[in-house]
Amino acid sequence: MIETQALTRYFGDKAAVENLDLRVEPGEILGFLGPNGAGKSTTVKILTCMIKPSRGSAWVAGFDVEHKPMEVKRRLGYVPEAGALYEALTAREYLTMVANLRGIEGGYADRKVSELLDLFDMLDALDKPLSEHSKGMKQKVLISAALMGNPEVLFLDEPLNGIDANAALVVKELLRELASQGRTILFCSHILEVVERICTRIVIIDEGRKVAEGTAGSIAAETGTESLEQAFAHLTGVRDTAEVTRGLLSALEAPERASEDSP
Amino acid sequence: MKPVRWAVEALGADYAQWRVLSRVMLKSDLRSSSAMQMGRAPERPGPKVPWRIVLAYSAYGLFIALAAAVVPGGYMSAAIALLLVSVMIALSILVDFQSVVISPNDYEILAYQPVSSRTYFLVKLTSILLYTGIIGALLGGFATLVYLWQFGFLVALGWLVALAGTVVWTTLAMVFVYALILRLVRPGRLRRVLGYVQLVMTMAIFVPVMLGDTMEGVFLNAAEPPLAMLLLPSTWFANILPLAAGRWSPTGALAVFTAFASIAALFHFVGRRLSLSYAEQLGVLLATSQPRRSRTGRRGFVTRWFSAELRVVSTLVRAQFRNDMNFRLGVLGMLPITLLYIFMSLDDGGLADPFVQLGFSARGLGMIHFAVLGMPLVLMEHLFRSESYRASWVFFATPVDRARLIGNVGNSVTIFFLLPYLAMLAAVLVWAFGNFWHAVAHTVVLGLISHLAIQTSLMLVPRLPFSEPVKKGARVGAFMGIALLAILVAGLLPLILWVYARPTWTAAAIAMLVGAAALAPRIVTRQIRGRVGQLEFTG
Repeated sequence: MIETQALTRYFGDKAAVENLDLRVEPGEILGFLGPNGAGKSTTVKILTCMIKPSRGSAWVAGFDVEHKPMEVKRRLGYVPEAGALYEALTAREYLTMVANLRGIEGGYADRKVSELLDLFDMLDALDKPLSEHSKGMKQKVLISAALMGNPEVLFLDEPLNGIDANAALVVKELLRELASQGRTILFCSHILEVVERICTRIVIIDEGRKVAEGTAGSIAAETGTESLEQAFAHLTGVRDTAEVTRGLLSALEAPERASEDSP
Repeated sequence: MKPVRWAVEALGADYAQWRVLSRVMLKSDLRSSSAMQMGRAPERPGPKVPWRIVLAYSAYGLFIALAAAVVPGGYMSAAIALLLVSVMIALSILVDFQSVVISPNDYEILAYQPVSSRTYFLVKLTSILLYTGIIGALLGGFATLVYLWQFGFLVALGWLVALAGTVVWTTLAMVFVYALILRLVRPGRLRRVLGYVQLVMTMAIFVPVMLGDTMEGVFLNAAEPPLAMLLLPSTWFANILPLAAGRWSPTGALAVFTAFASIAALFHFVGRRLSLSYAEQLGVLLATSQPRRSRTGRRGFVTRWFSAELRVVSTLVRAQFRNDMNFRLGVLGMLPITLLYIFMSLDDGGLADPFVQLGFSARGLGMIHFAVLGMPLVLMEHLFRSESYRASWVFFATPVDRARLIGNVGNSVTIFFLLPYLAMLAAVLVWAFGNFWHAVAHTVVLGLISHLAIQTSLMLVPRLPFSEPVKKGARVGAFMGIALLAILVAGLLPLILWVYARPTWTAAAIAMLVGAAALAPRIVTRQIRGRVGQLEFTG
């Protein structure tokens, strides 16, 4: 379970997250939406114990993130948005490291690593340095790492970023299956169709505050729009798309500089 | 229970996690420091030894061994050799390894794993102690042979203990300062404060070297080493050598006790009090890493007159200086070293006016010549390496003239670094020579030669700005390589100064240098054009 009460985080004078109340029950996949800079990643960083809240409280798997961070970390899996990895390591070495950090050792760890990467068709790339992997392959390694400790709670920040259509299908099916087993999943994404299809409930935040909560249908109905996409645009104050497009097209008319020695 | 396991667990860390992470950090560093060079991806994931860096430190180790051999008396020679070792260790941490202590990158990967702050901090400490231990061995290894040959086995063993103690003490002291800063300073101001701290710390570690001549005079002429020497921590460890030789004294024993007690105290402060806040602060540093807003108005006026490529390079260099902590600290760290050279030149019998004392008679200027030639070249090394080297795709995927871009790296260094540097130098020379025009003429000659050196270095190794990954140890290694080159050129400079004998020769030399300096960027651009086409993106 994930729960926050009046969760607030300031950076200097600016509130990145303000008075956020969330509750995600076991078995739920919560779609956590918001425009860029809305406070999604900050919220996830607080919930994964990477930073502390300025005010308010948060619990993950029944443990207070501020006072029991190790208990929380033992129970969570996380796919970070930035996708940071030790790129000099191979996929096998990285996943073995994560397994070891979670107390999984020896032959069992090796088996888990192979099993997870086999699911993503990555056994051939097992011993290549991560620096040679494509963005999608690195993302698969990160998803495998998040699943390594058999987590109760999963935080996925743009997990489908860069991965191919087949792997995306596997991930989506996997999330549904994990939720049906009673795991709690918080899913951040900008791909609204995916959120609509796999999430049981949706929270939209803007400028650090919650602006909507419910199913895709109920949010659309509340905002008097026809789809989640339109509701999102309505709630987060997007400018007229036609006007923005016209502006972009006129910007393209700037004079081009001739190339001199492009190889 | 194995002693290492016992020690790790006694410090409150998880042994299994500590072992896994320490191995990962080492593998990661060795692979990225040796294999990831321009146009070459790692061929296989095995660790490789960065031989150039090993050679650079070994060369300095030979110099330390020489110092140990010529200074009479085991205690005095060890005090000086250990001082040199501790200065080099501190400099390495400041210039190359501060990222091991303060970089938030590891935190980004590990913070959400069930790793305690204590374990995480101990991994960092192990990592940096391993590097400084290796550097210490390279720096002090040759001196061991000197002590073995001069004083026998026990004193050589005493030297090794003193060397290990000095390395650990210096490393812990540096980590302590960084950890303290992370605890005391607000995250928003952390980057800027770290820059200034770098400056102050570099100054601080050079103070003993600056006072070296004075100390040498006092200590070597005194019948007994004065007690004031004990203000330097390296002398606490140097007292191990007389004890190992069987010469016991209460002061010596107290100094050795202080040495080990201070290591224990530093360990206590670093390990117990600062570990938790340290890890948290790194997380906040990561979360608040947005660059500051740039001010463009005044600079827009200056850069209006630049070519497009020079504008690109200038903007990049200034933005990196503001936001890339590694680059900022590397550049700021050079200022105190320059001041040290000026100080040493002045200390070495004053600065002779090269228009009055011709050629080798004016060799007192050597340190200043070295600084003017060497520092811009060291800056160039900083300019090509960055944590954000992957962003250099933009030079490969856009129709930019890469040869001209590289040529303008030199122009940018000349405009934004060399010129202010020369202005400061001219002020010192006016004061030292007492003749304004002599000072200006000599500064112009030095500046032109330095500009030519910068262009030559670009021609020899053309690289795009901020396009190569940072290699641990590479900066101090490059610094030492460049230092050797600059010493050679600076050594030859007194010969060139014979042209000051006649005003017509001087005018002709300056005219030739101006011509060469004006043509150099064009020549370099033409020369490197073919090779630049072969460069490949390494990200």
